[in-house]
Amino acid sequence: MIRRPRDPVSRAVLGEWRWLLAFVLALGALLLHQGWLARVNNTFYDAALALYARPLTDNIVVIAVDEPSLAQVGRWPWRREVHARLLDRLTEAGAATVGLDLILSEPDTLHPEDDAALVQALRRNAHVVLPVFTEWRHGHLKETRPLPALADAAAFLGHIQSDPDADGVMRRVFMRCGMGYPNYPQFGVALLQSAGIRPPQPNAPTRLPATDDTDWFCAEPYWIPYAGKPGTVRQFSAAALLNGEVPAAELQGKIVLVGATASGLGDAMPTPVSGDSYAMPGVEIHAQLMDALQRGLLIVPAAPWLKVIYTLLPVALLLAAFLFLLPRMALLANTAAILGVLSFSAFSLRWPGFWFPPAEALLLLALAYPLWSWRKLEAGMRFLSEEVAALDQETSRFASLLPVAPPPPVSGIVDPVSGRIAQVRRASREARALRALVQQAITSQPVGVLLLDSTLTVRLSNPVMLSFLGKHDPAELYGLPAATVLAGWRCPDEAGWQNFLRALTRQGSAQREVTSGDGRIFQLGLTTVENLGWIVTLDDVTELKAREQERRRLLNFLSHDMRAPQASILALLDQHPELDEKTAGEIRAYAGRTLHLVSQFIYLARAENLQQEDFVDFDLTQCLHDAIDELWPQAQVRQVQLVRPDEAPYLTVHGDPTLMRRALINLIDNAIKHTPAGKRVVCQLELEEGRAHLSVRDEGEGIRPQDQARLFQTFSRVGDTTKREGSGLGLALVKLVAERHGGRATVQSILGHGAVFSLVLPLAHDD
Amino acid sequence: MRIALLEDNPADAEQIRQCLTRAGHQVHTYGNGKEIAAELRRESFDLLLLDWNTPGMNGHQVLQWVREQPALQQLPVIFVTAEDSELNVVQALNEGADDYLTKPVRCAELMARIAAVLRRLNIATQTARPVLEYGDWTLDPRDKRVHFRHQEVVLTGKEFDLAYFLFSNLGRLLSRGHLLEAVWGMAVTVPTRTVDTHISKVRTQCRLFPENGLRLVSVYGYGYRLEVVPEGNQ
Repeated sequence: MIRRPRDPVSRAVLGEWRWLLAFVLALGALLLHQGWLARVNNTFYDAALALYARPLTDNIVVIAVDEPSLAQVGRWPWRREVHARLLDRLTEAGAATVGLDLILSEPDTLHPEDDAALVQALRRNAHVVLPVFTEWRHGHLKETRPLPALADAAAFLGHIQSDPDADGVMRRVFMRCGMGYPNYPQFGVALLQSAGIRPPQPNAPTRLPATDDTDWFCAEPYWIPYAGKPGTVRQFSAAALLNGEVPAAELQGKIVLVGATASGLGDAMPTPVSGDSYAMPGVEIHAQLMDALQRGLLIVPAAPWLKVIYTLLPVALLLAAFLFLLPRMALLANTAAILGVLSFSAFSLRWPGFWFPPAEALLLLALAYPLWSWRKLEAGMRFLSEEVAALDQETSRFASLLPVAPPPPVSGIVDPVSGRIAQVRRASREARALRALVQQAITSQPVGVLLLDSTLTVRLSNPVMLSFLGKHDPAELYGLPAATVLAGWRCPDEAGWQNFLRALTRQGSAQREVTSGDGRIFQLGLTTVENLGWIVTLDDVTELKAREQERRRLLNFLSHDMRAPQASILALLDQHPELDEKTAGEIRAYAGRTLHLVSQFIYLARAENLQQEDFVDFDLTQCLHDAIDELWPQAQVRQVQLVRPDEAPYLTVHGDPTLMRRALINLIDNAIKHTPAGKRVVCQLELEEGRAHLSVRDEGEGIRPQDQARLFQTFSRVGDTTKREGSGLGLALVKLVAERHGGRATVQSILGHGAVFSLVLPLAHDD
Repeated sequence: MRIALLEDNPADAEQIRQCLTRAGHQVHTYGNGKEIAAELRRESFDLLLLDWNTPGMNGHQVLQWVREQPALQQLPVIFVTAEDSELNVVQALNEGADDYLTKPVRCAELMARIAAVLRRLNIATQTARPVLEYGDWTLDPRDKRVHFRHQEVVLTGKEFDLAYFLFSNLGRLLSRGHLLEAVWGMAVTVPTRTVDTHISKVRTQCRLFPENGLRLVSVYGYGYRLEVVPEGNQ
């Protein structure tokens, strides 16, 4: 649904968001399941119900047994003869039906004639409804009917079972109750039936479970849409009725409820609309119920699955909105969501009469914003901390180069957020200083520098580069493609500068020789800057090249013009066998030594000027075999046994094989010369810790410790110089070649026990 | 055999001439590059020996000119240099010289080079490969086995082919590209380094060392030569 964001901050925030969503949904489910907020929901219910107060229909009248009536007739319970008289009054006045909300289950043993009188009064009226109530007997709820004679005389019986909620408030009644099977309609319903009004069926007919007949059983709950506070019903005092003070017109055709309203007497109960002032008498509850039934009003509590949706959907939507909204807008959205849920609950209670308990949804919504803000702030602060730490790490290495920052302001209390922001400011100030430093470093480079972005466009140049390109202002180069900048120069690639540079970039880093428009030679270097672009450097090597050329010519001169005459001397000697053998031999030896000396000197000069770009990969093992092959005849002559390495591995070295072979020849030659006839020179080659270890061991006289250090120096000869044939260049070349290949040359020797010369060389990177 | 020699140094020229004449060849010596080029247009020779540094045209220029002449393209060229630098040697070989010698020239060496170069011209494409025997080595192409002093040498197929090719071109300088084509074939693109690794294996496995009478010479940056060690040196 939501694409995975690339930057780490958004990813962290999204992670927090997912956890928050999961937490909120889980909390909502828990609240719904446990019903912890039931009382809060009841409060909302009561408040919402109070919004819909209405006048009661005028066909319901209550005859109240109130304080004045008690004062006139005497203390409760009254004799049934009084009830009979009351009933007769109502009958005379032409009441449509009368509900006597009185307890008439026990016979009056003191005045049995009173029961008979009441039966007569009931018969006379013929539209009286009597209540059936319940009592706990032997742990079971049992019905208690009026006396059989009275029950027979009543038109209907109705139950007055009350079913208050946990907070004791009467919000609903059951439309039907009874022992084992709900036979009795609710008292109010019975009254409506008795008055000939068919109340609308508020609930779908309930499929009743088969039950035994030992328990009281109720069905079809009905949430009473109360019309208003206690006292909303039109009512007259029972005393007034007995005294004939109630006009007959007020009672004719009406549904009359007779019941106690005096405090402490009757079955008054708290209701949603009675507020905290006082309870509502049972008769009035029946009256309000009848009014609602006549009007067809209905309240249906939302089904559990609807409640789940109603509770979780708003907060989920709000959290989704948080991802896209600024904090201010998010707060507004949160407030709007709370108000929306509240009003929806309130309105739906009346139209269409659904009850959605809002407390869970409201709690989740109220938590959403603070939790979200907290988590987001935490994620942000965490990220800031990491960033600052990373920045600090980067800049700390350059700390001594950066301008000294002013000490942070000292204050008593710094909250963590401000402190973190201060750190970020300090870190970014250091980063700016560092950037300036880097720019300065680039600008002051002795070579020309171009910083190119990924499209090979110039973003930065230094003064040296400007002078190379004949410009004065960096702005003349900024934003130009590098190919355009170099357009006047000779490109080494026929495909043009753009393709040439592209090809170089693919190598990551490269060096090429290029020529400027006016014929000067430059070394062009290209280096990748990770995720940014490339740095191109230009170095004027014209003079360097000229000097190199000169040196090469000198070497060529030495190589050819010094060797050629010596070669000619040897050739001449071959043609004149008539010459004195001894003299010819000496001439041959001197010419040979001069040749050898020139060779060594040239090799040494070549090694001195060895260029990395001329390096190739070669096999050191073969190189060693080549050197041994070369010296084989000489070893034969001297009767020295030359021992090859057996099964040496293929060891690739990056360098100059000719020089390496010459160095190895010198090394082995040196060993042969110092080994007496009949002894051995052992060559070994091994791979150790990623480096090639080559050793040449002789069985000669050995070298004195004080001579070992000087051994590799140019023109140094050790020991008895007259005996030596060497030029003093041989081992110097060995050392130089080893170093030029990134390795080293060493010697170990014990006087009288020969010497071991070793080369340790790095292997070529295998790519 | 008619041999043309370009050599401006009289002592060197005389030495080479004596050496070749003793072997029964006719040697025509020229001291100037232009001179030899003019002569090559008129006369035909079996072999050309070029010194590197000569007046008129130097050996390098003569070589270039020779390889541009359609009639002279098959003419074997060996070139002689006083320089000890392989850079120039490789350059000359790449430009079409068949082999090279460094001064001072030794007669036996010169004769061996000439023999190898000339053998090239005689080796037609042989369809059936015979069993090769040289000194202590026996190479049997039928089961691709090499025996050294009656001991079997373990080689892969390609290694055997390489060894066989080297033995059939004894004394001749073979470029890496040549070896690659001969052993791996034209179509295959294998890095030239493959030749080096195989050479390395063949050399050590077959013990191609002077002590056994054969020497494998590496010309760095160019190729290899399997040559016989002269009797006197062994």
